[in-house]
Amino acid sequence: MSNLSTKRLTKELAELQKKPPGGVTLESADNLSQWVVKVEGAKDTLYQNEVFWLRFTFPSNYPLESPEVVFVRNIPIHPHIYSNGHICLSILYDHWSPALTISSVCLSILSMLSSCTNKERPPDDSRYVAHAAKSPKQTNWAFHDDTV
Amino acid sequence: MASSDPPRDPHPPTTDERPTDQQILDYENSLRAELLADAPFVSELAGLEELEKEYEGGAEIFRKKLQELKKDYPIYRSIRKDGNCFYRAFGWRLAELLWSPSSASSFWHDTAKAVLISTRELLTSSGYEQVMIEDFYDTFLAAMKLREAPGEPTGLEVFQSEYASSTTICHLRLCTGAELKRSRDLYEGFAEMPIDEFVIKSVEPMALEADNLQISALVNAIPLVNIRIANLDTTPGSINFHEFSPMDADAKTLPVITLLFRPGHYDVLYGKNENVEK
Repeated sequence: MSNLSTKRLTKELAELQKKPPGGVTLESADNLSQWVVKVEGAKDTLYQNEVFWLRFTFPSNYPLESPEVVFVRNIPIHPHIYSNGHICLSILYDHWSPALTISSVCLSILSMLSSCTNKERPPDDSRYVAHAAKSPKQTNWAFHDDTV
Repeated sequence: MASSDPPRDPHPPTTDERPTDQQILDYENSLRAELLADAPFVSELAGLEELEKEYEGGAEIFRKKLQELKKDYPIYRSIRKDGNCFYRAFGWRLAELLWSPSSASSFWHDTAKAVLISTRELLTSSGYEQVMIEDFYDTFLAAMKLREAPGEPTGLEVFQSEYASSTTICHLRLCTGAELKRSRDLYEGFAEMPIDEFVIKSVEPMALEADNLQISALVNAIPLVNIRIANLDTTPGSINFHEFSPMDADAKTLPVITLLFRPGHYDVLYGKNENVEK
């Protein structure tokens, strides 16, 4: 891990422990390469009272390169979330920016859940899951609609 | 190989004739790696003759325009073709102007120092979190030799190090994004989407090239230089230049950074009388 990357993760860790955004709790950060964050479905949305876990895996040149972010354990039913936990959200891939943080990623994912009006899997779920690589960063994503 | 073995198909048929995503990405990455192999981030100075060689046997119009350009700008420096070249060229040229002994005691140098130091406030006032931006900011100031920290790269070392130079590019991208958000009324008509979305999709991600809107915004975010861009394209006639000047500064008193633009790429040009770092 580069110096800067360690420095940045250490700061993000402190921030997440001190003042996490609403609905976001750091569950485990045993080392500086993989963390699990708990996110709670917002009130008055289809995911109210549901709890999910996001696993962040950081590359050695984080934050210049995006972290790998997947749902684990309990996968939300959502048109942009595949049943293997992979998330189709452009900021995690093509539109990743070093200005994004773990908190801002969690908030974007929560907002994606909140704006959902119909709980269903992506139409190509079984086909994707059968062929997908282990990491969603190895998928060549096509982003159809960021507003859902 | 034992002849009794049935021949193995090295590419067993799949249910799907399309290459997999992984194969597509691997292919794209290999192309990119080939393109970047050994290319320095910022190259040594070279005469424009070097550039003319690239166009030998090419269209007459390019050769004519290069000959014309050479009269005023005989030297250039090529910048790595990785989608960050505009920001890299801008940062490099700004640093050269700041490092130059002739500017050391000038009024411009004092202004420049104050403006660059205040870019932290520019970013935080546009909503970027200080915690997240300060590493990029510190390295950027170190690149400009306005800050020194033991064990960390300064000046030229920053431009030669992959990680450090990328963080300075990131800082310039965030300055561009901050200016776009700060004066959104000014820019919104030129973006094909709301400014916040434009910043997320076309400014903040690394390796996305800058276009006119990003260039105008960066010149206003860091109002220390005019940018003059020579367009090497196929339009008939002589070579044409695009000029970008900060709105709220007396442009005539500011130094000029000249860049050469070829579709998708920027390099740095040097005029006959410009002081250049070797």
